[in-house]
Amino acid sequence: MLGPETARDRSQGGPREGSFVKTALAVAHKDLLVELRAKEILLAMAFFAAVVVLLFAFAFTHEGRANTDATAGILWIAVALAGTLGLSRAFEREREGDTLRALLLAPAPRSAIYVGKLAGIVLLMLVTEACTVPLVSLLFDAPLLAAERLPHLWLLLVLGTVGYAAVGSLFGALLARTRGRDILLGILLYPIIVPVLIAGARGTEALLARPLDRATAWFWTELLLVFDTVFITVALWVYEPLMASE
Amino acid sequence: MTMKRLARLVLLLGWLVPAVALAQGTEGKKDGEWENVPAGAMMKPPGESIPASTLVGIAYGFIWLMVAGFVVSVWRRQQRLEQEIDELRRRLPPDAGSGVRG
Amino acid sequence: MKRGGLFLALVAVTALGLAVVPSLIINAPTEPTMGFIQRIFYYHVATAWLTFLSAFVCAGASIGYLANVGSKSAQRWDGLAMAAAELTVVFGTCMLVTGPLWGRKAWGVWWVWKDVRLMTALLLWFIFVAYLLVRRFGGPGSARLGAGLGIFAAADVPLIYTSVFFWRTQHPKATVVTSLDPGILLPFLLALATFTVLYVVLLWLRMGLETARIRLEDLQLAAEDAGLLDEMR
Repeated sequence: MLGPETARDRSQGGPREGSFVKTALAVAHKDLLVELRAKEILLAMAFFAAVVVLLFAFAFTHEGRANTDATAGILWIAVALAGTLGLSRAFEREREGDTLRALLLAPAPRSAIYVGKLAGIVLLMLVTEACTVPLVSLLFDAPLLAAERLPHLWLLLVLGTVGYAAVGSLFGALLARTRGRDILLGILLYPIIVPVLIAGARGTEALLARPLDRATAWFWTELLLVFDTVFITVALWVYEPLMASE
Repeated sequence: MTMKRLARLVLLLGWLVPAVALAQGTEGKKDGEWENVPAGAMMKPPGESIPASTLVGIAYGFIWLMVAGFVVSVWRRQQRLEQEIDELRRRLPPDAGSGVRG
Repeated sequence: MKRGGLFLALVAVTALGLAVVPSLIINAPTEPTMGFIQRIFYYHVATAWLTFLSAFVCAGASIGYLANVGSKSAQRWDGLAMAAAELTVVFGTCMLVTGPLWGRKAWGVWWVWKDVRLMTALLLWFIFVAYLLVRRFGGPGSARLGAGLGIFAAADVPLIYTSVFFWRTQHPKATVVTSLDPGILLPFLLALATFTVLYVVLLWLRMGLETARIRLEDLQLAAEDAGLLDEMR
């Protein structure tokens, strides 16, 4: 295997194959291709999210009707739990083949690799959400699928997922090198992403309100955008030194 | 050693659970109710019988317990490390450790 | 050793402060609306200040670690981050225990959800407990993970604060003494100063542990070179 110095020399002096965006796209493409062949993570995540929603439905059913106050929170918690499952499996897969190390030794900016992993995970989570939203809408009698609410809900979900995955793919990659990664990811991730969860759930709640509370929903959407920016900036900034070879 | 720790943990939990149960016995005001109460009226919550001096005493005592606990824990870890260092020093030939800092 | 002298001076200042401040606190005027319970304030605010200070010391040390990854000083930065993280949890626990004791008497409830300060403090405490768990069980590689976590924790504090702030539109107003009586202010400032010096002393003490650990690792390397390790393990 190449030493760290060689890799760094190559990345600086050698011919750079492609730009930042190209590298990120290549990494995301690779992850999705692997996943499309195996379908393991996607099926597990979607099914797990469905099971979580069902559990909540059972727990909160009152006199034959589901508790509709909790709908927004349930949707976001189901997404967060399923996301952890996907994250840990995605990085476990990298670890098994020792492919993350190989990726990091490639003559490409490490931050581009991070963005690529992030994009892959966001896409997987969005597919999961596409299955979860109708289920929640059905079980909790929530107007999530109404034409005036759905686009905004997706905006919230996309922004929330990006923030979640921004933290998740950084710590997932870091945890891949440590012992006890399976138990540690949730412990690390959940307290940090609480702001995203609050903003997402409050925004969704405003969307669910009858009549629709558009102003509040926009407020939380903008706040989510700020959170995403902070998380991604910090993550990009620390990824390079943290993932440097030993 | 580990059994002792486990026993200590069980003892601690055995104390905590009744304490929490006891604390929840006296009902406070529900969330959202207390915000609109004027400041003076909030001083005497219904059913609150623990005297203020006891609460202050517990608070101060707890802080000192935590700090003392931290100091003892650092001291014990330090002892263990020093022991290991001495052990290694004894085993090493005198010239081998010359390049070592400290 | 010159540093030993400074350390002793700090210990002396702490001891003096700890001897003087309690009597000042007892003699301070009783706050009219809250009564005697308000006296928790002196220590509660001091521990809260130290919790946040310590969290940011940890973040600073984590940045120092990142800037020096691979070099010899990285280990000391990492040690500082670790020490600060432990103290964050120690003082955070103090803060989270003394707060509800005060709140019980002043508000009638142990804990208020959605209050911005309470939630931020609680989440910060959780993140640093996670930090210690990672360092304890993570094995090799946990130093980098810890550095990432330390930086994220500090960056997260304003985000948590913002999100909880807007989540809650009403804020409990009767809880904080906004304009302090000079009789209260002086013991409060002294308590704050004493606790800060105590923090430096504890951090120093804890750093001694890291120094010993580095020495042990060096010796272990030397032992390995001398071929001693095979017979030991």
